Amino acid sequence: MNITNKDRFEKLDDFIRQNAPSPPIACSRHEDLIFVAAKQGLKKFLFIRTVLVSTFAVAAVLAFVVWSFPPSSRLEDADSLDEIFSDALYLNGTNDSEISDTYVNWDQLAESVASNNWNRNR
Amino acid sequence: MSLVITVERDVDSLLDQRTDGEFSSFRDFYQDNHDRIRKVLFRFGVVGDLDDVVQNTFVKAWANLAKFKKQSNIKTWLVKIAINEAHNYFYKTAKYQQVGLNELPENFEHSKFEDREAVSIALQTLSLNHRMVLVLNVIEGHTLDEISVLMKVPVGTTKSRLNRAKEKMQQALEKLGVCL
Repeated sequence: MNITNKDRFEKLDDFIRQNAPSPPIACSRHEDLIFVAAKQGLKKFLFIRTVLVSTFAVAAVLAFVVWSFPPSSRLEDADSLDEIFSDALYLNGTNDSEISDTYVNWDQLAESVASNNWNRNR
Repeated sequence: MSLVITVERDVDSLLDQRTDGEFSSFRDFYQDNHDRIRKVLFRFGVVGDLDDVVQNTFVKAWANLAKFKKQSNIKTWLVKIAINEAHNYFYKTAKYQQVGLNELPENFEHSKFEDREAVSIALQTLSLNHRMVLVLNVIEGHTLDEISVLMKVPVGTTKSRLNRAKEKMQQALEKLGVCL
């Protein structure tokens, strides 16, 4: 009787199925230990994931707050550097007349520097 | 400290959450499936660290249970995770041992081998991919279409791998004195 390839594989399949290797049976205590370990592993995994998500959320909120409300800066609030300069002198105890003497006209100063440079270049 | 306690409480509630009525807790989920997954992984060749790999499979599965699509069978989905875990395990540990056909013991009386042992040894002559296809199809009863989805390869590739695996198993068993 001719045995076809399919028949041969069918016999092989049956043989493998009937003699499939199996792991040693885990006793109930061993099974419980595996379960506890799996539960611990799961807890660890979920804990790390929760901490990472929370940290990211807090960082995102902080970044939004900082971006929306930048800390007030004298440099940004002041109309000009002149005001800062005169305020500083005032706080140092310099009187009004001295302030007016020392009040810097930045435009004038810039013009003067430009003119000096121009003269020097000539 | 309070954050840690809150997170622990959340995790506990997550472990006992009801998931679409299929499993009432992680213990149910584990008890219903662990025996089958343990056998599948063992037949893939995970021997030494079997329980660790089983554990990782269930941790990944439960953590991603929300992503599970109801269209597919949860048992098939678990096998898919087990396949990934087995691949990861062998990739990291390089513990997959493939034996060449010419390395099989010769001149052995078949009586010295139990049939089960002969199958076990013959399986070791297969590459991991061939072994997985053979185990999933012949022993676990998955169709070629299912295996191609599980292993992310075309059906044609799955079919050729299965034929190749069977031919090699045949040769190995013959060499071990098993007459079919």
